[in-house]
Amino acid sequence: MTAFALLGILAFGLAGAAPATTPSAPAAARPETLTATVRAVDGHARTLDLLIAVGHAMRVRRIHVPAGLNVRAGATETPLTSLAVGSIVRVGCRYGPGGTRADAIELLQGPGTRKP
Amino acid sequence: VKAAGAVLIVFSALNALGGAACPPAPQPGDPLRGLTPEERARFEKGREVFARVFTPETGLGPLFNADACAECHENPVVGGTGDEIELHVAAVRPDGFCDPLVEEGGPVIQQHATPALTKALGIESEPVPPQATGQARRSTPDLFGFGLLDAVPDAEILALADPDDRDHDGISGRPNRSLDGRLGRFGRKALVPTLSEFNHGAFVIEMGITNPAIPTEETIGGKPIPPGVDPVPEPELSQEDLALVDDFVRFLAPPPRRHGGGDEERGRLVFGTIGCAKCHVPSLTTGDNPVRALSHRTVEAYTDLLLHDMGPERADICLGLASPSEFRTEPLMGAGLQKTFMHDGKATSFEEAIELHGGEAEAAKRRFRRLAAPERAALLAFLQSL
Repeated sequence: MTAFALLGILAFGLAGAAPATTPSAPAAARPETLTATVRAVDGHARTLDLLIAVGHAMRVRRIHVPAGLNVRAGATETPLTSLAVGSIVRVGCRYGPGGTRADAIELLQGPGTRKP
Repeated sequence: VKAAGAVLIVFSALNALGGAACPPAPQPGDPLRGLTPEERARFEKGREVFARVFTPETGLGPLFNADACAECHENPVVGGTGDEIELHVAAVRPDGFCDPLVEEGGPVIQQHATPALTKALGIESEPVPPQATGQARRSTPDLFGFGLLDAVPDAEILALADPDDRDHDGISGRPNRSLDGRLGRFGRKALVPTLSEFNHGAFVIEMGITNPAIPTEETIGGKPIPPGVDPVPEPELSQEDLALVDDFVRFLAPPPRRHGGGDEERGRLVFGTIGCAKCHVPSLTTGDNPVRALSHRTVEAYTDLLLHDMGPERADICLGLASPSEFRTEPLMGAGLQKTFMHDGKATSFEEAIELHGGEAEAAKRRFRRLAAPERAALLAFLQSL
């Protein structure tokens, strides 16, 4: 994927981005793809908070994950709760009543390492 | 006399030919050589947008650090450095995750508020979130030659990485990654993958100017903007103006080398001998680029664009995979134009800046301290020439 395509995805992601507690509605329910860092996973509420950025301007996007939707990791599928904070995921989703709903979640990279 | 006249004519002709073949080097703030007339025109138009002063009526704020790009990037010319210092925050959570405190107003804490916001909330700057485990002071970098850094292929940067110090030289540069997993290279912690994204984000976090890439305002310490405080509809900057600024910054030429007041060539050798060049890699080469002036060029940036541990005394905030003590090697092109040095502007001379290096740079610093006076003077002259 080219840098321009990724930038387009990022920009599109931020266009609908707002603090997770006060989501703002894009004009229409349209499918989108977000590639972002997992900030929080709530297995009980089945939500995923994603950190997205353009430069140092960052936003949190809350994604509702339907029951039964797993995370694709290579050739295998794992439950939502297996996602580690800090991982990078690609989420296919759409905005609708009640917020943004995931259609697919793919694990791209693990949380990485930070030196102590 | 005739012979002398003939020599003079030949000399003048050669000089003229030489002048035509080798135009003077770009001065700070000039565009790259070799731009097309159209690219040059966009550079000039972009500079106007870059210097545009925003007001609350044209979208400024409600929180901001500056009212124009050129308010900070101003010395010695538009696109250069500045004396402003801004504040960034983050928190290392108990689970180890680096939280940029987005929902609390981070990672950039704006230091000014519009009159309307001050009237509504009684604040003159964004509050520092109490959750922050680190605060960082950030100076204004000059932007000269950044388009060339943008055009360096990822593979060239990654080839310089040695995260596990397999060559046992004590230097272990490693890449940071953006929040979507790409290689980062811009910003003091190398979080940002591209120059365009850096510019687009800066409009919002530095001036509160929304744009097509980021059409939502920053929050006020994580809280929504009070009604009526920012009535200008989003986006507050057009796509065309955003693209023009991108081209201005992208086409800024690296500053020319100057006479540093000593034996710069000897200093360059000392720079390598004592180990500075392990991180401040003298040159990088750009890859294929649709802009001919950016394609397959060597840029003497003196950086590897990787993260290095600078020691616990320099530690401030985490960002992405960067720990609080890790910083991207600062490019040294244009260093001779600067009055302050280091990511926080704490040093006011090259000697002070070197003394503030620790961690992976500790050994090089010790070797600097042991230099004889002529070598030390030559090294400083070399740095002044950049």
